[in-house]
Amino acid sequence: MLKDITIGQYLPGNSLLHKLDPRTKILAVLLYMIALFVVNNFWGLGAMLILSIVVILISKIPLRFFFRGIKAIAFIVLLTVALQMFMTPGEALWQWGFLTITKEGIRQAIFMGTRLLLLVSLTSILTLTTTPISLTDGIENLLKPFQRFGMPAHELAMMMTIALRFIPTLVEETEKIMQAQAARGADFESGNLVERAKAMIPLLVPLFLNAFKRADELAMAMEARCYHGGENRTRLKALKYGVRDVVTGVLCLCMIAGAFFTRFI
Amino acid sequence: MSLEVKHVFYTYQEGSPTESHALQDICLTVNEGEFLGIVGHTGSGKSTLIQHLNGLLKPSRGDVLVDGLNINQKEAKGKLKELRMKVGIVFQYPEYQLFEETVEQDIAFGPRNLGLNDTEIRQRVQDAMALLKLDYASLRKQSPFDLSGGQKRKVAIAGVLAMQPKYLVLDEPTAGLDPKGREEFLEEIATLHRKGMTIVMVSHSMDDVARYAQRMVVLDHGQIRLQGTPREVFSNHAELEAIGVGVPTLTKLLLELKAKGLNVRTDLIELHEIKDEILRALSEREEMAKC
Amino acid sequence: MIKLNHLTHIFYKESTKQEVKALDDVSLEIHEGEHIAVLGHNGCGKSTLAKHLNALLLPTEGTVEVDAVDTASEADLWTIRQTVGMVFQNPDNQLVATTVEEDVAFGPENMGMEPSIIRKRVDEALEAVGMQEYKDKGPHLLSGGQKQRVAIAGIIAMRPKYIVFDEPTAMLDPLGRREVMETMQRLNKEEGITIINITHFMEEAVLADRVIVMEHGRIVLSGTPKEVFTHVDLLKRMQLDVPPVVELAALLHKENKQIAADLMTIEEMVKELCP
Repeated sequence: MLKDITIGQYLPGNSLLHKLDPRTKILAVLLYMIALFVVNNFWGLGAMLILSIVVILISKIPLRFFFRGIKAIAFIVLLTVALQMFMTPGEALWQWGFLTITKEGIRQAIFMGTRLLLLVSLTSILTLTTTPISLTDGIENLLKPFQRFGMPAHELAMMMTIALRFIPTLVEETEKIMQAQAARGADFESGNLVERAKAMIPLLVPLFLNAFKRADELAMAMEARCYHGGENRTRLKALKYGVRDVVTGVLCLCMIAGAFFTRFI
Repeated sequence: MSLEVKHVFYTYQEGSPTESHALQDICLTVNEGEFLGIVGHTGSGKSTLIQHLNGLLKPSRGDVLVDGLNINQKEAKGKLKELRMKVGIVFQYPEYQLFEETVEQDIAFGPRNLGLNDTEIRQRVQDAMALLKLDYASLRKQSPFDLSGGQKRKVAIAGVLAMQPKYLVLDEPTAGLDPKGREEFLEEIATLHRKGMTIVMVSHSMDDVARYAQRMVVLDHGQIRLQGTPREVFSNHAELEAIGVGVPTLTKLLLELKAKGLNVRTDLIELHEIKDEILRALSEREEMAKC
Repeated sequence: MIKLNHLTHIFYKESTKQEVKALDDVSLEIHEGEHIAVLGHNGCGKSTLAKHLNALLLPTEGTVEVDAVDTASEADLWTIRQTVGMVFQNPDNQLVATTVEEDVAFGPENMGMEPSIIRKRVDEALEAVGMQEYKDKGPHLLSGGQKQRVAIAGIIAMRPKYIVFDEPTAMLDPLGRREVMETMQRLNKEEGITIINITHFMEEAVLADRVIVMEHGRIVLSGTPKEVFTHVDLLKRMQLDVPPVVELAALLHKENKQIAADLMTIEEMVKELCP
């Protein structure tokens, strides 16, 4: 059922990572990505792997949540690995028809595969340890400096919040409309692609119309509650950097420096 | 011929930590031609139960038979359309499922899914609209979205009626309507019943069920707690209060009068019969006082 | 006090390409601390009236004054909206945030209050509607009645003097309806908030101090519930639904003049018949 889909996969907890300021976490993940692509040998990659395992342990998040994330992108990882393995030119180790595995290919495959896996694991740590609200708050805050260049930071954050708020409602509504149309003999399951796409019209039209109606009513309710954009707006939970954020920042800088250093080993 | 629900259990998300037993050992027969009311509050399993009646949901355990055809068995698979045709379900706020450009096209959606030809479809649309006193000539080319709330709902119901179901199941058909619309609607439904359609109406209004249903069931926590004619069911007022569905306002009044010593019958439903009963009891009391 | 002076509202209806007079020369005074019910069936103009009370709509003719401030004055818009809060019909379409607490904070945040004060107001507002234990829950996990209570808390957190309820119970089941009505009553009696309840349920009108019945954009009846309900025939003609006890009382009175005609509740009727 559609209801089983989990959205905003936040996992409540009180690890150090849960307590970090969302902005720190977002920046840290960005720096981590950079570091991951700066390292170019196994020493560096090994160091990143160890670092990642430590971070995962600190987060106290059960491993199965990472596997779930990995499963979702397994296909992309396998494809990347295969492409790297067969397409990298170099010293041939094994050949069969037009397929050639080279030494360089294996090296590249391991490298890209590990990078992708680590990337996914660490970004899921961000969403697993941060509530959707503080994530949006963090993004809004980080984008604020760009506001004077026309970046609609507040509006983007508001849109994200409303989207998160209404996704479950719309999912529920989709189910209801599907049932109602099914009761009138609609068939969403059989037929070829064109027929199935056609069968979606009775579902999508009411869904969109209702969404517009909701948007209209919501806008009025927001206005009635004095909403007038981001100007002079305060927040219930103001973001504040703490000592742990400073420490994390320093560690991240060390990580970047370390990543560059490994290139010379 | 009837709808039969035999020892049906239904569990949502079986085996997961969030599993919930929506229905537990439900046994229920809907006889052809009757008006059955299903009462219970939100979360009692009403909606889950009606989705079983045309195979939108399959029981986790137990059987559902539509005119003898078991929806669980393999032979029902190819007959799903036939089944949906027999049992029409009107869900809550059905106007939110309208999607076509014109009223006529929207009502025709069901018949078209049945694979009927154009003449048959047009005939069915006209019949369905006539049943609800919707004017075919003036409304057919209109957009359903330009109609008033009550009209929209009628068009949506006509969309189900156009399937020419034998059994019509309505989930809270009057929810969100104003008193005028509510009254009109209940009358329309009663008319459909008089014309021979079997009606199953889910409601949380005891007053509405009391007035229209010939038989009713009370659901609570996925189980049938009471079953019988409204008069029989309302006589179990203590249990009804405990379930939290209450009794119709005037039944409550009669009960309280009786508790205060006025000798009135408490199994009455009609406003006028209640008035007469109270007047009778009052004059009886006066007679007694004179003696 | 909210004062409506000869308020008329005309809007252009897209589908029929006609001008519709939703409100026709309505004058009304709403006093502080009052609990008013506005009755009438769909299209009688009661929702349009509601939206004039906090400047969501502005008069075509006439004026609306909230505490002597004209709602058409743009400079005072946010003061007016803060003074007159509004709860809408669809509980789903008025909650903005992903948790109950953040949603209640939305109004005070828009008013630019200090976080510590917002915190205090959110906690108090949730307490007032009995929803503290749900403060971290997502709105989609709540029942209709609970959602509506959260919406009410979101308004209370702005400390309005008046709250307009625009058919707040129309989409709720009996349980949710009771929750909302109890909350409404408590806010009026204990917090002294002025309540304007737009509804089509007569049982709710019984609880008000003053009932106003509208038809075709005009006020046709106004008075205490008892006064209004003596017009059983008129109400029936307008196809408004009369509470069963009121109807029964009228019938009994017709045949036995000793029985009072203005009984509204079961308690009153029992007291009358079995003193």
